[in-house]
Amino acid sequence: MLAGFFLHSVEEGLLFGILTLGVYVSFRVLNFPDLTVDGSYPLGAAVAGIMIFRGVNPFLTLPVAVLAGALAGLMTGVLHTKLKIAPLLAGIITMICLYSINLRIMGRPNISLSPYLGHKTVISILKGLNLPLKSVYLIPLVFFLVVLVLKLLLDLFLHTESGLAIRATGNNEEMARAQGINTDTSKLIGLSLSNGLVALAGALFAQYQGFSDIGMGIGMIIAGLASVIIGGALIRGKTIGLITLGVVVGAIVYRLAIAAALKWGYNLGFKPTDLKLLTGLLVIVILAFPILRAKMKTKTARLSKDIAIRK
Amino acid sequence: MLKITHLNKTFFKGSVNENLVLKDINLNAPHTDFVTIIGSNGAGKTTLLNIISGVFPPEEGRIEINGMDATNLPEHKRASLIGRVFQNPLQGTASSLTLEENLAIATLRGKKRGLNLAVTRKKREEFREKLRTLGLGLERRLHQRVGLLSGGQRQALTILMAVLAKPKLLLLDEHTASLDPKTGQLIISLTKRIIDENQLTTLMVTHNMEQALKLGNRTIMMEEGEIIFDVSGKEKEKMTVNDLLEKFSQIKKKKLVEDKMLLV
Repeated sequence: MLAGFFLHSVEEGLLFGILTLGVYVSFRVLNFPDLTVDGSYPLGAAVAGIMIFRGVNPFLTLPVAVLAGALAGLMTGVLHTKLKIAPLLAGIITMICLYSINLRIMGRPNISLSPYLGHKTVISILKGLNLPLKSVYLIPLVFFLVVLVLKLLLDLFLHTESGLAIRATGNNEEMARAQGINTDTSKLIGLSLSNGLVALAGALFAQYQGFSDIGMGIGMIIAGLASVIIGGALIRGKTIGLITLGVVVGAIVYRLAIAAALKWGYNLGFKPTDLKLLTGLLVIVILAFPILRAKMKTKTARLSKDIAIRK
Repeated sequence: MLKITHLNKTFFKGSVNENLVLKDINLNAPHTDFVTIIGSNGAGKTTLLNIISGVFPPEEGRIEINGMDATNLPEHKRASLIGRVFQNPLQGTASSLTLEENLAIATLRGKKRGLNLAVTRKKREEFREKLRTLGLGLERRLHQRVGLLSGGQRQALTILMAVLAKPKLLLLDEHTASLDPKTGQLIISLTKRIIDENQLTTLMVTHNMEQALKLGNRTIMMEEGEIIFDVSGKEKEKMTVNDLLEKFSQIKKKKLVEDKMLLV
């Protein structure tokens, strides 16, 4: 029972890790607080949902979802770089536009993708392969490999000439331009890449949970950010490889924490509907922690100094 | 090499805060000219450098670099012609990237950035050689993030990065002002060496009059957006700081008188 609970959360966490890699690219690499995520995640799910519903090969939904997500990121990027709209606002505008677009794509607020309705998903195809491995272990293994490959590809990209240009843009825009980097292009590429990953996560998650829903993106950016921060605290490395590893681990830990809160929080009077509230509180605690700790330290230092003087 | 004609720039045009920062600037700096620029705060020195490097466009006038009209060229496109070092040592490098990554970014200035690995073994060897010439031991710290370097080390790295892609023009904006005197001296001698080696045309803004006279072959003085004094060659060599101050107050007085005459 507990093992099943654990495995389930790890599976979710691995898929969620793809989204978190995307959030890492916008928030940390580009230094661009991109709220498009709340719209591009359900966008990926919507694209996958309607395609599978219409009987398209579920594997084909994945590149289409990536493309759709990349376009969403591009829109935010154009709003910011060409029309000079502030990053937060540009992301929110795209997000709100995507709400209607996602409804248009799906034609309804919710699409059920159930094998009982004859829908084939990536998951159901994997389970039907009759491999010697039990599907309980096969699914997490496949998810793990997918995330690993994506992580390694991202690592590699961030070490290429273009990848380095994007990192420089996020770190020091003035320097980047002085070194001949077109910072607008860097932002457009980075935001497309980020939201492409997010939409891919949405497409896979919809197939994993068996439905796509218009509301499944709400608060995703905060959850993704929480995972990035948790990952950074757990794995303290400065190299790209270690940081992205931390990002994925952070996503899994976050999912486990949320699942545990839902499972045992029930006894404390929490309901599943309190999930977003808990996420918000968790992020506040994580963000406030370094500041509170520093304050505590100076306070104790002052106290011990006072005592020393009195002595 | 660098030819600036009738350059004008106003900030906040049409508002109460309208501020004419550059008034009809004309400057012609032939190849390998080393011009030091002095002037009080708000004289328009940094604005001039920023317009030359394309941070913002001029209002009127024309900028020609290496025979090419660069007036409307975006900043990142003219970067291949211009190397820049800023007053703030943090400004010229990316602190969260390693030394070799910063250098790799600089080597690609003016080139297309594709999907090749940015730092290859061959490039790393080149970087090591280049860093060795600085004599600061940085060649042993290629993998470290630039944020770990001191201000002087970062400024030395910025100078190296500024000239790595062989620019035509070097713009130095008070690049030793925030360093301690000893480090500043080191950076100055490094600057001189690199300018000579690369046969660069240089504009250097400084607040230090002695430095302005000692370095380069030409000095210009700016005041309220105008070039009020331009001295070069033998005449410059003979000049002392006192002469310069004298000249400044003379010109100022004359201007004041002229302004008064306008009023009367």
